[in-house]
Amino acid sequence: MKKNKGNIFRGITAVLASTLCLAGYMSVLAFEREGDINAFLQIKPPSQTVTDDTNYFPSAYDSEEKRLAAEKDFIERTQEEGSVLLKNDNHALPLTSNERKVTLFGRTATDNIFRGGSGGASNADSVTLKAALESRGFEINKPVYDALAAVNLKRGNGEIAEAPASTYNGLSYTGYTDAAIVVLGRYAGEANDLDVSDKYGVPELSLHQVEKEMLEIVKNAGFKKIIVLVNSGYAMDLDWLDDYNVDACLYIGYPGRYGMNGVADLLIGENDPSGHLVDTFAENSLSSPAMQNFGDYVFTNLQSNAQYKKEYLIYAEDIYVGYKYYETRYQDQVLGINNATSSAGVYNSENNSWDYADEMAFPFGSGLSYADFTQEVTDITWNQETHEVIAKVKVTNNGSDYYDGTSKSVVQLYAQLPYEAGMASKSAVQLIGYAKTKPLAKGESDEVTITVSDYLFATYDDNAVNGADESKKGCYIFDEGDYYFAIGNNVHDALNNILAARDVKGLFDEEGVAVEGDASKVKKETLAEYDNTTYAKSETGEIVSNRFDDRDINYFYDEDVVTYLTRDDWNTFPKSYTGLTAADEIASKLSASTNEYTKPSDAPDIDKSKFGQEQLLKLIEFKDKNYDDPDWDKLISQMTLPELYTLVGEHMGNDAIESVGYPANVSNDGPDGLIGATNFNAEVISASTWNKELIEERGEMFGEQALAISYGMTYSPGANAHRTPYGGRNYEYYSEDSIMSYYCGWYQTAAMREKGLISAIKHFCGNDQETNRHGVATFMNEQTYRQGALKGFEGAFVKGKTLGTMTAFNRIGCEPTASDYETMTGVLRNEWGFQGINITDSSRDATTYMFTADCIMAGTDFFNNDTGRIDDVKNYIVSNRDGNIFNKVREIAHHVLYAYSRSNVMNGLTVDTAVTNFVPWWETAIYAFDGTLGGLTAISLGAFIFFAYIKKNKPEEDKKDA
Amino acid sequence: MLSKIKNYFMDKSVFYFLLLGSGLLALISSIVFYVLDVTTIKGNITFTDDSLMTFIFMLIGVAGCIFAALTKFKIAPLIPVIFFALGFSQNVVMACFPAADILKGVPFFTSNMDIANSTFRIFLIFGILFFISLVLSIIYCFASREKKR
Repeated sequence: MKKNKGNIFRGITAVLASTLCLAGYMSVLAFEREGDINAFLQIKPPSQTVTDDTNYFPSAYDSEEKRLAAEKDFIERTQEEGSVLLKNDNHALPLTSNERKVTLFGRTATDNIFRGGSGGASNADSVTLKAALESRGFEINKPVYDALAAVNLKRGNGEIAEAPASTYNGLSYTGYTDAAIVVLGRYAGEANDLDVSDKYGVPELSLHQVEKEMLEIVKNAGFKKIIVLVNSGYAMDLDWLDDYNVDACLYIGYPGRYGMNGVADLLIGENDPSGHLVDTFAENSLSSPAMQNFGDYVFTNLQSNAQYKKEYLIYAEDIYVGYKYYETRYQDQVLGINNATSSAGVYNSENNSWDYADEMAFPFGSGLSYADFTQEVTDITWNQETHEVIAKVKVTNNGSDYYDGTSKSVVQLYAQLPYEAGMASKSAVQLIGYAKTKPLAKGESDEVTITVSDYLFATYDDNAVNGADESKKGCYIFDEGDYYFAIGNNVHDALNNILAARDVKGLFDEEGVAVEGDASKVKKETLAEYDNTTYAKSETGEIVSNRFDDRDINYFYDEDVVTYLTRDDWNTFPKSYTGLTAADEIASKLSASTNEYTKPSDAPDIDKSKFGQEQLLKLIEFKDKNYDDPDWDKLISQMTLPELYTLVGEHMGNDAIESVGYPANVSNDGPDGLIGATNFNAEVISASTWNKELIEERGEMFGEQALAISYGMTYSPGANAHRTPYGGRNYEYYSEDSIMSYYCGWYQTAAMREKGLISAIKHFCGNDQETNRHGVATFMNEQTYRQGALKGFEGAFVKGKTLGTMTAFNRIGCEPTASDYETMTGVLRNEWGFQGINITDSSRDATTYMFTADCIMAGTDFFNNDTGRIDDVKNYIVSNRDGNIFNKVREIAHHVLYAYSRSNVMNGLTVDTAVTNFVPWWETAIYAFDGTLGGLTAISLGAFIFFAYIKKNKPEEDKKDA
Repeated sequence: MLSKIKNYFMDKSVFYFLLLGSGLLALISSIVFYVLDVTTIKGNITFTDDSLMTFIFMLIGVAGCIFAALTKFKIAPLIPVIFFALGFSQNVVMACFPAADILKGVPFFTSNMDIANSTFRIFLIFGILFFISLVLSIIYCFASREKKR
């Protein structure tokens, strides 16, 4: 018996010990990913009781029902104003009241794409196109719809998931021929760019054979109207619409939870589409210069390096992203200069000679309306004393026989700067401002005033002498000469107006039709003298001069390895820079395996008077104190040493800091709505509204969501550039144009801040593709960096005063963004005056190249979802007594406390509130479970040892058992 | 010699052979797993791949099986159990990362969704094999080394 008991307890011990092992491993993982688990379980710290006196950031709604109703209305309006009508032959749209029996084509018609593939709000309960149409009285051809719905294909990863043409075999359209509504979809997302050559060997944004076959069926099926809806977050190739007799084409992006209601309302004329493109839709999505250097590039001599330490990307296109390339080259084409019509960069042009009309489908800014508008310039003045351009434009709705509702019109303001060969790069035309009218009825007019700071068209010349300090090179400048300011229906129309004002002949539109241009829509202003002083310093007083010489790859070589595109010779159209060999310095930087920072011999000790001091102050008392108030130092000095070094390890939020009354809080994604809340329209659609008030309202809606579900910070909006059409996250960034992004970031983050939500605008900076996003060395010259990647974010920081930013996974040059001092501190804090929180992207998965001390010294505050960094910082401060790191951590505390003192996290707090940490229930459960399991294992082990070894030594009992 | 070996095994219980089987299964599966890990998983993931530890734990477990088989120490059978449990648990944790990508539909921890699926399949299949080894070694703990007379 005793032997059996011994075996039994040995077996039980084995079971318990195995379970304990598994529990232990899973517990460690759970604690490491605490933030993710809390987000998944929707666990948040208990919120304070809010009274009227302590409701510092109140909701505008007195019930959740009203807030949700407002969200629905907002999403529908955004969709109506952001959908872009690209084609509308013979007034095919709006559909008449008799045209309600329709057939839907395309598998995306049955499997709508509501959002892209990245972190954010859920697709759940999204209103489908079918549901939206049926609610407006449409009758949908059910057999066709059901046949499409039965097609089992999963989109993504190079699969467009379109139904084969055979799906339509034997199906009838009789009775449903008022219109064929063809829905085409494209989908990608985080860590997943679109494919330049997908599994079908076709660029993913091109029309695929299976889609051509479907369109051929539609074309020949006798429908009264053919309407195409482009359900894509990316600029698809759309040069084929006429080939299939498409009557109307509406770009709808990703509509979010209720956007399809807006789409349906547009189709029936309940509202008028007033969106305009924020990207160039070229005839061939591969034809831009940026596309020549997009994707996967590995240094030949670093192939054996670990991942994140060998990839590179060259921005050889210089500033010529999107329309800046096509329109500048067009100007040179009509002027007959600079090899504009050479074969370099030809994709669709005939006779191997570049032609704008052959390469362009829909220019930036394109968008039709059901109504007919005229825009007349009342006045455009560049006041060179106040440094403002003020444009007044009278907009008249001339109405339409086919639509009797009100309509809005967008006034787009562009500028042309003087250019001669040898100057810093300039686009022939660039967006500087815009405005949208109020709703106008037929015959009604509105005068729109656009006021623009001339900073927005200053040129960064990295060869210029800085006017504030002539020992420095690099400066924002204005060249002397003629400046043209113009309005237009799109960027190409505006450029033609400018060229008309310059008396240039031979103009044509994007279809190759000769046009005259309209000089009356242009105003010329002349700058008498070169100006390198006005913007030589930033608003903070910091001199703005070259900081990024070593982000240009040519810096590392004796002879240039990269030729940047220049408008002086279009034969410099970039080649693909494959197979580069890393210079020694590049190889060394990329191969680094540890911090560059080492504690210097003269580093100060940690200052004991700066931590653990008497707790006399509370954070709530600081909600109106300026950043520079000396009392912040006293508050921070109250924090204990563990509170200080623990702060850097963010876990989708932070624990409470009891010593200063900072409550526990949570943070999360994303750009199209907070996780756990409603899914808004994609950012690209919100930007396509060209409506600053609507962008502002988006920020307010985010703030309201945050109040409702208790978020203090969100990792949004996104503001990287649509450098190419294939960037996987383009849908959650605003535009290809940095000025459009400047304005959108400004208005949205300002509104979020007003509502008490910290907006960690991302991914700062230069994360314009997903391929190799971890660690890719992104090389560009300083002008391209400042006027492109940085400019797109600048509005949010300088004007919107956002209190957060999330950095990117890539490098700028060889510098990981999170440890790039020049970007994070030089530009962000010193030039732009940023006072908020700088948080990495999920840095636990980037430890091999994002080194803790380097990041902190460069200006990083939080390591996102990475509590493992706490030990690093603790070692520096406690073990090494490194005063440099200690002082930086106090700066971090200042940034964090300041930002949160301006947030909804303060709601409910008074000086008498005692904040405490909370332990999520699952952590308590884990401790209890593991503890119990450990105890049982120990008991069982003890029993086994007793029966196996101890009891056997009692012979009397042996005899009894026998 | 042969008869000595035959006599050695003649009085062993069926559970003894299950123990040997668990060790053999663990040996083969861990070697194949680690080869697959080095050739297909490494370089395509962003999470730290601790599969080497899985491999080491399983090998120590195999050694533990041999030790338990050859000795009469009553506590010896717990040795392979502990190390198989460690190896299995390590593997389960590793599997969570591609599983998270699959659940979320975003290839965050892996280069793309195809790699997420294939990586998860590898961890799953070998996790099952490691689990079988673990269960067999646990069963042995309940049993006797020799046949009951």
